[in-house]
Parts: sequence; C-alpha cells; structure tokens
Amino acid sequence: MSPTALAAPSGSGCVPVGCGLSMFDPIYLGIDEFGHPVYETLAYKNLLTGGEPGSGKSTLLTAIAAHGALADDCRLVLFDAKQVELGPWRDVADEFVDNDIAAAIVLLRRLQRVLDNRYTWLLAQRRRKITRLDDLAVYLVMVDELAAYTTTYGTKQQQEEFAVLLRDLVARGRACGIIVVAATQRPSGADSPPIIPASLRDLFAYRAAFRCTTDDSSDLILGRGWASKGHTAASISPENPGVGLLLAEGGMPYLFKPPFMTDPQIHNLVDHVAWTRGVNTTAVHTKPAATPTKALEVVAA
Amino acid sequence: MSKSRWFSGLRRRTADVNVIDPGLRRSVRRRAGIALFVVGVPVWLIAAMVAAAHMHVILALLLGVLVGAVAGFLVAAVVFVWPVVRVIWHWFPEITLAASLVLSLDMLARVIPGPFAILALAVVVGGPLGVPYTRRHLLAWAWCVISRHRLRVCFNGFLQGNRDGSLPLILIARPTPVGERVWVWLRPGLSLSDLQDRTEQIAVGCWANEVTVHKASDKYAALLRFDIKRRNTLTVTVQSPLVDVIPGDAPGRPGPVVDGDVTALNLVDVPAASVTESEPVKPAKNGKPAAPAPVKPAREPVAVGVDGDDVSDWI
Repeated sequence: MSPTALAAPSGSGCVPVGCGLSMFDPIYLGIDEFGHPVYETLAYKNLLTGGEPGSGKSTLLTAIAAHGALADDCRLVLFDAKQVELGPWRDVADEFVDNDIAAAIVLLRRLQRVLDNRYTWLLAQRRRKITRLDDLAVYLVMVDELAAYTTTYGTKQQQEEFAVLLRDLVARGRACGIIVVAATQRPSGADSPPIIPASLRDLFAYRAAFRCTTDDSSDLILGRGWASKGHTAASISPENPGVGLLLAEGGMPYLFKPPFMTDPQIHNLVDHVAWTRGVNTTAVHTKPAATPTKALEVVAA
Repeated sequence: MSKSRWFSGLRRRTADVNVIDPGLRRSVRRRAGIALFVVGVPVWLIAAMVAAAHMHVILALLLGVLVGAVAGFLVAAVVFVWPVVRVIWHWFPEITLAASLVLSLDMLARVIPGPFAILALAVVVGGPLGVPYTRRHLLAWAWCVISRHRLRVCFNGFLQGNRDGSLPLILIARPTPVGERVWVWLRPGLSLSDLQDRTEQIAVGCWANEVTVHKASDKYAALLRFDIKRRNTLTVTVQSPLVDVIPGDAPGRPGPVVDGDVTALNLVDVPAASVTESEPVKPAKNGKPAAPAPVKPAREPVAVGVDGDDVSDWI
C-alpha cells in the first residue's frame, strides 16, 4: 500500500514542521550499563538483531523506526510477517509487506533496481557513496522475523530468492542509502535451509543480541568467540527483558537497553509524522481470510 | 612450656611472614647487581673522559670511579627497592588514610584534651557515613580499594606471570554505576586473552557478579581495564527522547477500516469443518462399493516447514 498525498487539514491554523532529524544523524539506542546514552549512526551500516521471543528485539526496531519516521530524508520500507510489531508504522511507510512473500520479492526487486540506478548515478558523479547533501531519500528497510520469509512462507525457490535479494541489498546498499535492519528469533545456521545464511549474516556490521538460551545462539548473532570472552547474551536475566548486547563502533559488545515506547506514544508520533509528511492514512485493511493461507497450502502440497 | 621453646616458636612464626616473595627477592638482587655495573661502568668512563680534560688522568679515573659508583648505586637502589615500592603502592590508600588520621589526631591533641580529640575526629570521620548520599560515595571508593586488593589476590592465585614472578601492576581504580573500574599494566609474558579466559575466576575472587576485561589503550597492549560489576543498572525503563521532540497538536488519524466485521476471535467460533477439506469420492471398481471420501486436515497439526524442518520456534 503506497501512501498518497492529502491536503493539509483545514482549520488547523498551523503548518506542520518536521523535527529536522536525518538518517545521517546518530540514533538514540538507549543507555548502557554505566548510564551513558548510546548513540549509533546507522548510515552506511546494517544491523542484525536476534534473541528469544519477548527478549526486546522489537523495542530496538521501534526505536530505529521512530527515528527514521521523524527523519526528513528517510523512507520506511517494512517487512513484518506478524503485522503488529511494525504495523503501527505502515501509515507512514512507503511500502509495507506482511506475510505475502511474493509481494516481498517484488518489493526487493524494486529496491535492487533503485540500488543499481543509484550506483550508476554515483558513477556519473565520480563518487563512491551518497551523502546527506545529495537530497536523496535514505531507505530504511526493516525486516521483522526474517525467518518467516526464509523458511516459513512461500516455496523453496521464493525463500531462496528472498534471501539472495536481501543479501544483495545488505552487501551493496550501504553506500547508496539503503539501510537494512533485520530481526530474527532463531539465528541458527545449522538448519536446512538456514534461517539466516552465513553469507548474509556476516554482512551485518552492527549486531544486537538480546536474551538467548545458549552461548552458541549468542555467538551466531554477535560472531564466533565472543561468548568465550565473557560476552554472551545467554547471561542476560530472563526477568529483565529489553537488555541486549550491542556490537557496533568500538569493536566490543556492551550491555545496553533500548528505549521503550508505549502504544499511545507510538501512535502520537505516527500521527505527527503522517501530518508532516501529508500522507493519506485512510487505508482499508482486509480482514484475515477464513480459508487456509498460502503457508498452509505449501505444507499441504 | 619453657621460655626458649616459646621464643623459638615465636621466631619461627615471625620468620614465616614474607612481604616480598623469596623468588622475587633473589631476582631483584640479581637485577640490582646487574644495574650497578651496567650503569656504573659507562658513567665511570664518561666521567673520567670529561675529567681528564681538566686534570691528571689518574685523578680523572679516580673521580670517574666515584661518580660511577654513586650513579650505579642509585639505580641499583631503585631496582632493589622496587618490590617494596610496589607493595607501598598497593597499600597507598590505606597508608595515606592511616597517616592522615594519626596526623589529624596529633594536631587535635595539641589543642584539646585527648579523649575529646578522639571524639572530634570520630565525628568528622564517621559523620559522613550517617548521611546516605555521602555514605554511598564513600562505600563506592572503599570498594575501589578492596577491589584492587582482591585483584592482586587473584593474580597471585592463578596467574603465571613472567619468569621473574612479577605480576601485573595494578594502577588506579574508580567507582562506576555498576561497580568499579580498575586499570592494570601487564608485564611481559601476559596478554589480554590470558585474563579474558579467567574472568569467571576473577569475579569469584573479587566477590563480584561479573568481570570483563578490555584494552584500555590503542597504543599500549599492556594497559588493560577491568570492569568489576556488582549491580544491575539496566532494570529501569528507558524513555525515548523522541516522544518529547514532537508537539502534541497533530491531528489524529482515522482508525483502520476493516472490510467487514472481524469475528471468530475464539477457538469455539472456529469449527473444524471450516478448516478441513475432503477429497473427491473414488468411483466403484469391480463391483465393489466406492470407499468413503477420507477427510483429512488441510494442514499438519504441527507447524512444519517446506523441507519438514520444525519451525515451531518462531511461530
């Protein structure tokens, strides 16, 4: 669903002004265990987050999506098989895909075309990457529950194509303003097919590991060897959700806790963004079908 | 028990107290002797050459011996007392505190009678402990002192050190919201990975919940930082500053419009017939009656992926 322009509400008496944020600005990701604020710049980077259900991955995604929504130069492209985690942002997103893997593949192909075109443009400019002065939109591609698209829904060919396209975006998208933020519950590489192929997982520069059940799961997110050095998400208390290990600039994982936004806060923020961006939010949502979905049809095949 | 036996026992007990490890002591004596000659001989020669320009050669040589001996003994003395200096450094906060208390008591006793001087000093020292804010800060600094000693105990307990037996030098410590941060200088023969493999043992030795070790300098691999963690500060809910960035006068969006009524929100509202499908009935063969159409579920009761992989973890 693409948003359409809408005239400013009459009688409001004021002109909406954006916050002036940019995706090239540092993003507030919470606090570390020493009480210091955590700011990381996601421009030219990609982020992978993983952890057991309820560990706080979506809190981090919400914090990043909030910054992206408020940023003047950012466009949200959301993939959410569960529909509710990133669903509040669909009204201000350029594209939103739920559990329809065919639509997800089409969208990834479009992004890949944008990527190729931007590199051609950069080549003509004799440059290697875009900057904030280029006035080009930065696409924040957020995928919640990556496993849904790589192992659950669709045929094997579709799942492989999704993984290949996403890998291409992660590998080549940084310099031309396509940032990929992916979340998964179980980043195991031993499954067949793997939920996140190692070739895709290793391309993420930033990693955030929330509560995991084993040291191996933590190492699969952060990278091999960190658990043996004392940095393991398995040591995070299950009674303290929202705490994770962030591996970003600095090269060492450290404990942090992303900011939490309540549902009313999220909707107030989306209201503001929709107002400033002038998007049409009168979308019609189709109720879930009573017949078995595509995923069930695949299993029955 | 005879006096001689009691005294011999006492002598034996006092002889067992070693401030400096005997192996380290022998090593230090050897190095001090080497330093005496390594420094003394060149200084002697240089001093003799300089003095020879102003006096007789033999006199210059004798003067050079004197200068060389002084320089050599000075350096040898520094090398010899270094282990003692290190012990004094390890106990520097306590020595300073004790010396300050004694000095303060002495100065007070010159002005007011003894018992009152002690009482006044006790009020000045103990008063801050009665105020929660200052007590927290004082206890935090006290733990810094304790942690330095506990780290030294840990290093003595299970670090090999180098051939001379010298262990990492513990530098300064300061409080952090989660515990203490201690800087340590490693000696040759040790590395960061040696200590990262021992963080659990160090945590036990420091009476802490967790200990992490990091490089403290991009220039020196020997300078490490120990984060000794005793408290969990991430139990609070972190607020997003973006909530305060937006004004609250944005017009609300219309609620999502759903095509039709959303029903069947409970299991009892979803009968089995609505999620099952039957195969077409097979025609009768050889006069035998047609078998009834089997009713099978449209999907497996357990969520299974395309290749039979168990995907129940993420559904």
